[in-house]
Amino acid sequence: MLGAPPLLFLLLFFAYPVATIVGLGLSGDAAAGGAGVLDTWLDERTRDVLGFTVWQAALSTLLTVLAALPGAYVFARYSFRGKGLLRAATTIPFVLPTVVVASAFLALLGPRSPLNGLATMLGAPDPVVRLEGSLWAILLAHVFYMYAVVLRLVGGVWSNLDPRTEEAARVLGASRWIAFRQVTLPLLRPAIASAAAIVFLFTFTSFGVILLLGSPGTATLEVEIYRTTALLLDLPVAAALALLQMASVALLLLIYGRLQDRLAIEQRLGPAADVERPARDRRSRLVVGATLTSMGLLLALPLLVLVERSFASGDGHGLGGYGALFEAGGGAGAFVPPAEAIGNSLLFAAATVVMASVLGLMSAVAIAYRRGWASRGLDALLMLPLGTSAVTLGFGFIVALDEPPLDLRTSVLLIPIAHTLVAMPFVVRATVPLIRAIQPRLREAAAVLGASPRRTWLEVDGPVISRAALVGGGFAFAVSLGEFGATLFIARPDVPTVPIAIFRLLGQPGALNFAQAMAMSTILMVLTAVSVLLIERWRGHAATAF
Amino acid sequence: MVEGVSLRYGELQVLDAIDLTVADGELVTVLGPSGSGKSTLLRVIAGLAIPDRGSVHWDGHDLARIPVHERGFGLMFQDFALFPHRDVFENVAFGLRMQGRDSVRIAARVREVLELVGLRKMETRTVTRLSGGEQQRVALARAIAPSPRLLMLDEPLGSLDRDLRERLPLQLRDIVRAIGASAIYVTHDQEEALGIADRTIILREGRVVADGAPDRLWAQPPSEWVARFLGFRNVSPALIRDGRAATPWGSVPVDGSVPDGEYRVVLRTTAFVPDPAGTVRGLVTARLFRGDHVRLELAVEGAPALEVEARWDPLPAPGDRLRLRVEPGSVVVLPDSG
Repeated sequence: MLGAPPLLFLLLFFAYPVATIVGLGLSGDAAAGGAGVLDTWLDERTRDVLGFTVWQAALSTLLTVLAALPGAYVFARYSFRGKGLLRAATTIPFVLPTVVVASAFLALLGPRSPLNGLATMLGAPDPVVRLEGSLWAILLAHVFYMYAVVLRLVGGVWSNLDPRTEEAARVLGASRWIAFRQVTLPLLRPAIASAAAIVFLFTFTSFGVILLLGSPGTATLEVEIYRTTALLLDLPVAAALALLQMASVALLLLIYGRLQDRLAIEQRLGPAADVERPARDRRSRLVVGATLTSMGLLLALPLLVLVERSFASGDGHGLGGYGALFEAGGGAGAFVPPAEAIGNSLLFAAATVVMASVLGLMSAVAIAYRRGWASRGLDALLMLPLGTSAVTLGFGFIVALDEPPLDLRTSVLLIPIAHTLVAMPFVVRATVPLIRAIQPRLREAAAVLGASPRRTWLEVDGPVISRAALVGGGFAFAVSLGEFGATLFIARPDVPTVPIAIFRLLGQPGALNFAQAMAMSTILMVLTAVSVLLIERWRGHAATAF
Repeated sequence: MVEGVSLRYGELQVLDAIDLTVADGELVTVLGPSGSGKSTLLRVIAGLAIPDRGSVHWDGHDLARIPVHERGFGLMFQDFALFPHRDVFENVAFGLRMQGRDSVRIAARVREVLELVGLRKMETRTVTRLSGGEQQRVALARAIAPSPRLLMLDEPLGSLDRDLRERLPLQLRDIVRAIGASAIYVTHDQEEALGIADRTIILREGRVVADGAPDRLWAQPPSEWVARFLGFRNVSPALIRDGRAATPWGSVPVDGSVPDGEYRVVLRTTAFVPDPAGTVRGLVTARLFRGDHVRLELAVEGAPALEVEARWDPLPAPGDRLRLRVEPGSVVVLPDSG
């Protein structure tokens, strides 16, 4: 019974739009003159786009793994001051909205980069750093964004590997490198493969970073779906591309599942307690120092430059960028002061929190308490919107929900509904383990102590579920604040969200617009960071299944 | 081969000026309570840990600049550290492959050592599916396969159950003897250490506090701490004069060559014989039946509790009063009071 409302929601706002896309994509075949789905798939442009999508995802994955492995090693094997704090800090990039990440890298790598200011001061005639629009900017942003995934997944397994296994190889005559290659690496391979698969999936469906940092030559499937819809207004072709995107993601997920089964190595995991040692000799101090320094440069520099740029106006520093956010018109040509977007975003986020918490908790309770096929089905169905790209979701909304029976195109509710779809899987994933962790013994103990069933539920389940609701609500809030891909399709011009406002500001020329975009990004970064920190507080040490 | 080795981890002095020499083909056991630095000593010799001071030599050559993998030593780890992603054959063959031997000779040698440790026909088994005793033998086979010039064993029986712990030490010694290497065997178990060694050294807080043949250490522990660590009870100060020691439990005979003075002495639990004219009198407070003997705890007036082992007929019961005599030659006079 509890599962029914979320199920209905998913059917209406996920299954129905997806079905519409499928219908639209296939209808192109029937309509004379229109491009059929196969025509689109076999088109040279599509092949180029798909090729680039795979290529940039593969490169991003490779670079992220290579960049994060030393960090994973240092975190797994050494203890140093501030380690816990640093570990928490490394996850910040991953939870930041893509628009903020893109802004930060525009600030760092674009023509207005402080690096260029430095170079000019040193006498360089032209800006030295001009990577915006290049593949490099995209790759760097992806590495920044996905670093934590590899660090967490690989580092976690690494710290559970018994260091004596590698030492045994050393004593048996293996050099450092051979011992790593033949013993440690094979044992880490499953973790590396799963981290790489996740990075590949994320970067394959990356949208905001590529739209903002890329150029026409660097279009991925996501960007192409957006361009085809918003600029070329060719819905059947966009639908065909969306189908290709869904098929690719499904294939990737399938491969990922297979990979996980095949690569599992049975091993006794040792305790992680006694393997972390302070760096004692010169060599390990060097390794730890160099790794932490480069980690800091990669993860902190873009965000610091973002904040610095948000205060840069003209020649000096000031609050100009922030001040201009409250003025209508301005150079940005916006009808409303950009700051209104903050109010919009907060309202949408609040609505998302309510909807995603209520629906998500209903699903979580249904899944946690009942373990039949129904709950498994709901569980799987809930994950689908997560596997579907945000762009496909937004595209589905505009093709399916713009005519009777469901004409919601002009409704402001559309945005929180889309955000709820994206946020609900997170809410469910975060809360099901909390609810499952309630031990039946506790309920039995309460009953034996004289609590009625209703009272037992209130006293035992109630507190856990309300904490789960806080955690889920926090996730929904953070997701809603940062959502960009789907919102870009459905946001009304006069009711932009913060990411949309940043996107528009970045599309306008001029130093003031740029400063405003940076200011807005900084505000969004702070809002997101605060909500994520609060989630971590509320979640405590409860087990989660991420 | 180890000279003045010291090592600190932060505030903790793990090894403190350790000297240790191992002769060709000698089996030395290193005994000490946990945290005494035994394993760290092996790590230093293997090259896995770098000492702050002191040096490790082999045949007169300083090993400071020789990295772990070029030392040619064998080390069998506590909990074995087998490679979980490789089967039994591949585990044992690892060191041989590192030596660059050809596959035919590797296969022959692997079979040979597996035979030696009693694991024939187990080559293709997954190591994680083996029992503790089998894993232990794979680890031993892996350590001895490359014919190391020195074999080090770190608590090789540490994680095994009691039955194996009792049976395996002798087998282990025979295998070590069979390959003819020098060996250092680390354990916290007194019986194991004294039982199989040519020589035993005892570590306490990173220092060598005893070094000698097991029977010598047993006959004459060098200090009270060592005596207690080896399991001696009934340690007490005593005034010795004319070949007799005045202990809180009564007057007992000691070796006549000991000069008169104040000492600490040990009355071995097995030193007592029931005797109506004995000098030691006590009240039985507890009785522990041990099969071939009975251990009694006696309350002696004005003295600490006394532990006594003997064959009795009939068995004394708690509450009985006993008179005992101490056999000459069974009182240990300790050289110091530490």
